[in-house]
Amino acid sequence: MAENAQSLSDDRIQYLEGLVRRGRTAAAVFTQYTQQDVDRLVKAIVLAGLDQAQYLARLAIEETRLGVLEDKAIKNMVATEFVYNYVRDRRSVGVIGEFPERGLVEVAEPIGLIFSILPITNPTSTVLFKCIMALKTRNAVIFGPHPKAWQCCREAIRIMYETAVKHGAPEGVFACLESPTIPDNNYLMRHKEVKLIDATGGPGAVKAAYSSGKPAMGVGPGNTPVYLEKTAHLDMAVVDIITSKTFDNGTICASEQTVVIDDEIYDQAIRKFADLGAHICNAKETAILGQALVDPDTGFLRPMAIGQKATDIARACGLRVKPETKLLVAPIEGVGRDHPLSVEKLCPVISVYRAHSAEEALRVCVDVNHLGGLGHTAVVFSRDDEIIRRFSEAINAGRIIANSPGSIGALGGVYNDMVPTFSFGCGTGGGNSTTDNVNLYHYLNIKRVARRTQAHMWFRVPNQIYFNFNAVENLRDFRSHSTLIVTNPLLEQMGHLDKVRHSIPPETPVRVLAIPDAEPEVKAVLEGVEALKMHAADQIIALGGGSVIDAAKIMKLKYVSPEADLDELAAPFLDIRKRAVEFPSAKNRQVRLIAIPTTSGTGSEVTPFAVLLDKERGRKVTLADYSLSPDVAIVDPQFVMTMPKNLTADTGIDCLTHALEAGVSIHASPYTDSNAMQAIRLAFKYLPMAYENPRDEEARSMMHNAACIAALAFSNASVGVNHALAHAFGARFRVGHGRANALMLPHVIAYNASVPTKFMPSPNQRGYLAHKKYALMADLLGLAGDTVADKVKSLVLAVEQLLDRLEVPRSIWELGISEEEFERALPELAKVAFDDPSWRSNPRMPLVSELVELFRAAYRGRGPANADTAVQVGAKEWSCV
Amino acid sequence: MEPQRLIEGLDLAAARAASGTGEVLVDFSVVGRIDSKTAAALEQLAALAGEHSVKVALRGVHGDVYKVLKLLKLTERFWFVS
Repeated sequence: MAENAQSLSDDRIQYLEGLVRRGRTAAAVFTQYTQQDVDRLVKAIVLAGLDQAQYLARLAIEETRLGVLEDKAIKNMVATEFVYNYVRDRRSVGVIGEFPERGLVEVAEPIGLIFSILPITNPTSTVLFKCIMALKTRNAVIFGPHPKAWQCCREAIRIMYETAVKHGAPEGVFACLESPTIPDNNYLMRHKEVKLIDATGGPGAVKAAYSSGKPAMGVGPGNTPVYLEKTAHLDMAVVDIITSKTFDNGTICASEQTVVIDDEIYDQAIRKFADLGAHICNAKETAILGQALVDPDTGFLRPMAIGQKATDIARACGLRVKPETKLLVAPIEGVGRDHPLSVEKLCPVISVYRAHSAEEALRVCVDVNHLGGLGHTAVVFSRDDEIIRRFSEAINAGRIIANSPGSIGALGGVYNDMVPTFSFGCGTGGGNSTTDNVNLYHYLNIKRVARRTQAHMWFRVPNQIYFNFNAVENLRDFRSHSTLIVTNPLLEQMGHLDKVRHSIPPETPVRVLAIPDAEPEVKAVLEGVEALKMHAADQIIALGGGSVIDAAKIMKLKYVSPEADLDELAAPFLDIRKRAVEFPSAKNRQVRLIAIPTTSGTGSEVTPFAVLLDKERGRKVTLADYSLSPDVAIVDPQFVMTMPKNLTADTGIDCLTHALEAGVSIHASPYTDSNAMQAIRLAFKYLPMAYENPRDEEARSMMHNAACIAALAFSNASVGVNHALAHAFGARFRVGHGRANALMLPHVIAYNASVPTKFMPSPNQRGYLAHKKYALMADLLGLAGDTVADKVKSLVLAVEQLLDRLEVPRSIWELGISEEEFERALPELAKVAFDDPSWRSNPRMPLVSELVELFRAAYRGRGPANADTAVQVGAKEWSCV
Repeated sequence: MEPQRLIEGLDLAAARAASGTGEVLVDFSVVGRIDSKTAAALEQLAALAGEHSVKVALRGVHGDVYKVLKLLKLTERFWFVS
């Protein structure tokens, strides 16, 4: 039962409920109809409407006393023939749109029962239009006509209804309120079975519709400004304006209201209006018209003038005009309450304004637009595209009609290719939900079937990778006019720099920049850029660990793109493929970056990442972009033969972590998998050998390769939650990156292998794969286990055994950090880890509470492979494996 | 099925429901579509069944017809059997 029934009698409520019941049943039954069914029905009512166009026009004129018989008949024909022409071949049942390239399908769903308010100005044509829309979309409608137009509307609805039912439409599909009242409207607008209100009418009806709390389309008044610009085709413009403004005696709300004319053509235009049958009012006549037509209290046109002939209006106001006068033209000098005729006038009275510049003309048009016409319609006559563009930007109107009549132009389909309608959406400016010409798509719920699509993926690596002993000799193939070697002092002392220099063609001018062996600082990078500029370098050779290579990457970036804003480029992102910032592309300088790593872990020689320390602000800046990737990597194990044992272990664990995390990443692909798996195999075999026998050339060589291969994988698949934890912990307690990774690694494997609390959205994967990928790794390593769960446990155990062989701390407490201190740091650690971008490609989305538990597990040490101290971060294991 | 025959069947079912005896089973397996009159007859049948606490089962209701019943809030008032 609807609210607001107080002012209705029981009988009236029963009557309204009956209408609703029938309409609701009809709408439900209508859902079974096919496209062919509705198209047959639509064609039948269109033909009936065309057949009765003149009859209905006459009824409308006789009842409303508004408008022109001939024009009303044309409106009825436009409402049927033109609208039918638009809808006839459009699908409105089932699948209505298919976009295979986007994996999208649109499916129509009817709305149900619609309550539709009809205007007095265009009563029968609006009925015809709305009936076609409703049948085409399988909806039922209860019509609420204007009280002074309900008989003609009732007859139009009867014709439509009987024709539709005769051709198979559901009984009750259309109904017309008998003797409609505002309380009837209010009752129906709030009725729970009414699913949509479509109100075409005055501001009161539109406001009531929007106030009902129901989805509503409300289309109300306008105040159409016209800019008649000096380049316009004047003959065409004046005829168009007269045609439009006199059509049905100006009752279409899109018709022209105030014409703003450039001074240069003003007198000529006015003469043409007069020549074509308009009466040009003098100042006194304008004042009389304004007083007579516009109610000074409301500021609106008095109802008695709506839709009347120009001669009748003139007579009523005491003006003497020629009998053939079709339009009253009233010059005004401003817009607003002091200029009554600047408001909407739904009659053949138009105001004109002389503008002395385009700026003034646009200002006045904006003023008219804002005086009750926001969102509706505006017209511009000009042959200057720039003027049309400026007009369309200045004016807020759903329809900006260029070089054609406003009223007929706005209806669509006659003078332009807009959608034919009898309902103009006015957007938020008019308090409406749409600026569209209301059409069949507004009578539908459109469902979208979105098929799963695969994101475009890639595998990007440097152009050239040279490896094995003495690979550095390949430098001789790279010609350069000026080369800068970036390295650190220690490597210079160790003789590595000389080995590089000897491999560079002797004619190449070479300079050396030694920077501290630590994360690169902004200052060092800027010094490097200055050196590059000074020597006009076209080649950079980065010889060192990850820090040196990272520094060289950023030097190159700033050298080739001085405008690069490192702060902006370091903006966080979720997916590198979709991030907001764009790295600059080198425009003027082409510089080759050759990376020669002297450790076997970071893989910086092939990665698109670089970390910069901003000491002034006390923070790290991480840059990621494939433009940072070195052009050439030289993976020569001779440079790692003297790595100390602890560095061998730490960097080797970093390499293994890269591979393990890339292997289960949500961005993993067959391309990254092949690299990750190979790196895991190499690391398990050769890392302990390189650690225990540092002079073992094969072990060193293979671990050097493993680091690079793992980096090829994580450059494209990224890392995971292990790195997020290690970054946070390492920074807080000043623990090396590899060592910090080692503390987390067994726990993270167990965590990722268990059933996630939250899954990470991963469109490129079918189901959760992490545990199965770990099992695959176990198979690759020849570990024991019959089930996936067993294999995961074997992998964890193998990792733990490897870490033990590398003699790295296995728990945080072993580092001498007290439990109290650690617990105090935990909230911040978890926060920093959660802010770290590394986990965003982790297969399992970590909750902050889970990060806390992972840290606690790492504090206690010894992972899930040890049954006595097993850490059960994941709530349960997979039962399906 | 002819709508008129279907309505006759529903009227028969309504009469049985009104008598308050046992359960009523209506076979819809050959009904591809219902019209407004049939929908009204089903509403009446549901009302009578509720009034006399008679269980009414509809057999083999097609998807499109089920949706009509759903929109008319009749699905919770009938039993559906395959």
